[in-house]
Amino acid sequence: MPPDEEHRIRVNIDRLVAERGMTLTQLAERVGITQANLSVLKNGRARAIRFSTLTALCEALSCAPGDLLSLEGS
Amino acid sequence: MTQSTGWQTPIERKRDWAREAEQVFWLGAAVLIAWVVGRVAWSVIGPVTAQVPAMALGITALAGSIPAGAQLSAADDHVTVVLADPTAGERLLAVLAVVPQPLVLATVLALLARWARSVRQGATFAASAASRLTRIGQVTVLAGIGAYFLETTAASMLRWDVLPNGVASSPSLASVLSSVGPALWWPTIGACLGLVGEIVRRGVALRDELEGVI
Repeated sequence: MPPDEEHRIRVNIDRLVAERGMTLTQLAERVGITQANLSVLKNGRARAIRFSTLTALCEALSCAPGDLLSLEGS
Repeated sequence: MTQSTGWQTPIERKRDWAREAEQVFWLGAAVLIAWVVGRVAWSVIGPVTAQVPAMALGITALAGSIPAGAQLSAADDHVTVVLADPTAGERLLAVLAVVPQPLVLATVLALLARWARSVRQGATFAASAASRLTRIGQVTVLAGIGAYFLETTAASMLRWDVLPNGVASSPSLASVLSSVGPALWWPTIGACLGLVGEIVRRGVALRDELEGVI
């Protein structure tokens, strides 16, 4: 798929944050990224995610990558 | 009281390459403009010289055909004809025979200086910087070749004007090739500028790609 085409990856940050009683500000601080970048990631506007960021997110949310990402329409 | 250790930690100065490039470009353009002004002034007040191929014509025939008052001095395979009292047209041709290419080079250097300034004020890897560099490359090729042919034409007309007594000049293949050779510098310089522009363009694309990576 060309990189500029629409993707169907859903980032379940909102749900995981709510389940763990965290705020997005706290998550951004724990992961070490800005709130702006977390918002870009949360809203599906990121082109890609680094393995290091994914690792930090999974550690902060105590989840697996599969819990964080899902394919819409499947 | 602290004692001096006798040596100092070297201060790392962050080099502003765009500023230095801008200064070098402006300096080069200023030197060329000064040379052009000097050359034009000399063409107005000084004698006019023209290079005439001696081997093709033969010194004996040439010596009998030059205008009264002109001097000859041979260098390599060309003879320099010096006109002590040239006409306004001959002075104009003398200027056009040497000035256009340095003028184009000065213009290109000024454009590059402005490009370096825009890079300093903005970003190196910006789409505008890449397209601007490509345009400068195109201007270099077109204006450079045009200036070269203008110089060549003016020099030929001056030669024709200096030798009015029916002395025909038939250039050899070697002389034609050697005269066309310098014109190839302009496409080379333009291609180099275009290549740098393409590298910047790819850098822009790479940066855009990385901006969306979190």
